[in-house]
Amino acid sequence: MSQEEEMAELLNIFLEEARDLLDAIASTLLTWSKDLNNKTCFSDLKRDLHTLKGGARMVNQPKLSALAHELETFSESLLTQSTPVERKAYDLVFEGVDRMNLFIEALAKKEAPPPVEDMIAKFSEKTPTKEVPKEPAIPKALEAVKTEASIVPETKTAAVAEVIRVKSDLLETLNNLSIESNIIRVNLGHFVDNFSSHLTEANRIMKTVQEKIRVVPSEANLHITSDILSMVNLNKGLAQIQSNIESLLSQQARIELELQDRLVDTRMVPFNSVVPRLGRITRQVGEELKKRVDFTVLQSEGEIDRNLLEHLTPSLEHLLRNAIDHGIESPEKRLNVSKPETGKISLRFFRLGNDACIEIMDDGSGINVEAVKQKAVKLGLLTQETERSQADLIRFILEPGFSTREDVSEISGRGVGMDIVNTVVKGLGGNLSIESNPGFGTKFIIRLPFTTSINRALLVVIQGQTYGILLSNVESIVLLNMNQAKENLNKTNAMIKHNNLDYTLKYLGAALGVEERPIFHKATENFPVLLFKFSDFNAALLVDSLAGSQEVVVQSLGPQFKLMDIFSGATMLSDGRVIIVLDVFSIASRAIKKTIEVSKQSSSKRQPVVMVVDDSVTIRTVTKNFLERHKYSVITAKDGLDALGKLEQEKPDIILLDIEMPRMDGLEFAEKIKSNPNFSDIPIIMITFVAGEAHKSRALKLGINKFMSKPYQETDLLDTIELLLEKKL
Amino acid sequence: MDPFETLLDIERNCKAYALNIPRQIVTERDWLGIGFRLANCNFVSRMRSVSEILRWPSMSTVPNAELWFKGIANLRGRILPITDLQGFVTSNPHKESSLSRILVIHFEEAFYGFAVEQVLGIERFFGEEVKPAEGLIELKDYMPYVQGAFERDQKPWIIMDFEKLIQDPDFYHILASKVEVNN
Repeated sequence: MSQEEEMAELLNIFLEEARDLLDAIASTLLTWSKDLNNKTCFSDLKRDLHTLKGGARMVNQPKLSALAHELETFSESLLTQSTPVERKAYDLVFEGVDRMNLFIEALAKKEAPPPVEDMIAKFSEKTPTKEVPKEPAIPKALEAVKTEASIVPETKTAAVAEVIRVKSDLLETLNNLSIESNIIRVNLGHFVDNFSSHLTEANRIMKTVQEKIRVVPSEANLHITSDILSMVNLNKGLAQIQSNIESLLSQQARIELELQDRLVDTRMVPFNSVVPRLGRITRQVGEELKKRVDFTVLQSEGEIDRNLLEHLTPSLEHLLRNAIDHGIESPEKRLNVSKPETGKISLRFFRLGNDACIEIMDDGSGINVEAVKQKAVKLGLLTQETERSQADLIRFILEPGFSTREDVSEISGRGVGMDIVNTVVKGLGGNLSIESNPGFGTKFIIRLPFTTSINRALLVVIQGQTYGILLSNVESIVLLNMNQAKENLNKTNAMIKHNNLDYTLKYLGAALGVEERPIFHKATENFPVLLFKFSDFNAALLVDSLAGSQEVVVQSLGPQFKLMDIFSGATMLSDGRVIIVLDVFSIASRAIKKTIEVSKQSSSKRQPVVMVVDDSVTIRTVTKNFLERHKYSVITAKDGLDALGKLEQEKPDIILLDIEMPRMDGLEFAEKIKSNPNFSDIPIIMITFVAGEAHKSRALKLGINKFMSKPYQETDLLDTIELLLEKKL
Repeated sequence: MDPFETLLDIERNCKAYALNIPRQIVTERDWLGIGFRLANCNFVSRMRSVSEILRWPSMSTVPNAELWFKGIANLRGRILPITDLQGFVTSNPHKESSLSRILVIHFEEAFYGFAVEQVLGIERFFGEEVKPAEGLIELKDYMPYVQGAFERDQKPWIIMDFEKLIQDPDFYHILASKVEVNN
């Protein structure tokens, strides 16, 4: 390993450690904020900061180490301070820790870290006892030893259970191996069954031979009988072995199940681990918006799948940001309506049956349903006259591009967000509900299946092929007899009523593009219909038959399926068969929502379709929302390859294209488009940071219609799009 | 001379005149690959890119998939997507027979199965030169994925580059048409 590689690896290790330490520090800060004179907090802080300092020095980050040093010294001074600790001290430490967080994140992203000098200066002023402020007095080697020493007592205090670090892909491999071993056991079981039926057959034959032998002359009879007897004994022995194998196999099955369970446990992390981060966000946003917010965690015990939490955390952050920006009123306003000046946001994590629930509540103004309605009308999602329930109206805030805020702030109001939160939650197999009480606050409730790795799936059969559907998605199942099924499927827009709700009916085989109709055998046949309730529509999917339900581990289908959202993955049944697990939401929204929309929009003029190709999700979303506000219909793609896939589905009127993208860059993509007669007429606007002349000339050669560099004026972009579309017509 | 002496004599002679056992030398110029047949041509693929060879497995089809995408199979608990190599390249599907095999290619953390007509075994080429394949085959469709060819007994062995094929954007268009119902 070269020295550089070694350094890079060291840095990665340090970053990982630093994040852990900062998390620990953040949770100490949370405790401290509740009791400003809690001395144990100071010693905890001091210890963690010291470790961080040592690490920073090891990876040659003198600035970070200096800041950690100042913070450490400051914490130490608090420990010996005789007068009560002031809130100011807390705020200062918080600010310092925050800066360290930014520093670490910048290092992780290989960006230039933020300056720390101003922070250090603040601390040097505050620290009363200025004992040996200049660190370099201690020789480096000695300091390293010191760091080492500081780690030892730490592990001692945390002697509750020993914890080791294991790479997550190793666990993934273990999990796969365990599944493999399970499949082999099941196959073995089949062989044993087979063996046992052969044995029974052998016994039967032996018996008939015994019967037949009676008529044979006695001398020969005697010999044969004794042979037969020994064969009967042999068979008995074999039967004994078989039953032993069977019992061992069933023990193995039990152990494997247990092993599987334990492996799933290894993916679990305490929900608590994300709390400090959420607390930090709340504080930051509160400060930025000059709103006073108190963040309390009512309940956070329990574990959650690591994967799940990782995917969910940004959404939780977003909900908190929203709660502060939209929910909590300004201090003056709060005083006016005789609420305490400081707003309250609380979080609760708990288990409900097989689901994990997360609630985020604020005591702000609640959702202004009338404003939501007006906005929905403005966006053409609703007509003024339509009667909708309060809850239905509130759900409009989950629509893409929906924000009732007139002014767009840095924090929220861009309408990028709630729809993404909703999509993420849905993607994880859960759902998001909202309760709002005008004047008293809003509550967001996220319900998720407890772990993503093991789910119960319903096995459905379509044209002889079995598919899995996650049971947590299914609202209910009803049966239709053959005539009802025929009648309904012949209608263009069949509906089923269940519990006073309307469900649009489709044959799952048709939605998958396999076959338009199921095979109708006999009139007495019943067809199961699975009912699904999604946020904005209800679907009823008819299947040929059900094949039971089973616990499944959903595995990824691999890179070839990345572009396809109608499959959530595949799973192996106990007999080793692979089946595809369907993403009902995507299938239903493609098959049903489209037909609904088509019937709705057939009269109105078609909106021009813009395709936005950019590898940054932020740019994609911002551009999408902005264009949708101006009545464009938008398709997004994350790179050239993705875009090519999406082109097949819908041909856009114009393409906005980034240059630098993974897998297939903009120029390559443009080349493909311009050389394809089907697509060559689509105008392309190339938007990029790097508008080098070389790029430009190559792009113009390819027939790129317009070049714009980031950041561009939104109006310029609109004008350009309009111009190019007019030209095209 | 007694018979035993004669035997010893023969042994001595044998040893004295015997050729040395050839030492197994694998030079760097040796090219090792798995040979297989496709459309009546001999192909080879670099040994290290083929991780496994399977008999025809049982598999589940993917609804609405392109003809060349045969389905997904269970490779010891792992999902293995299976592509009909000939079908993908020439859109002329391969007919499965008892000789058909699946070559498992490991590429960037994922496994891909490719169905071929027949596997011929390990082929070793000693310092033969890789020639451009253009003159050798009329199989135009294969050209984008061919690195060149070896020539042995006046017959070409075409070098198949699976990694290139796996990176072809078309390889990711599994669905035959858009999944949608128009009624």
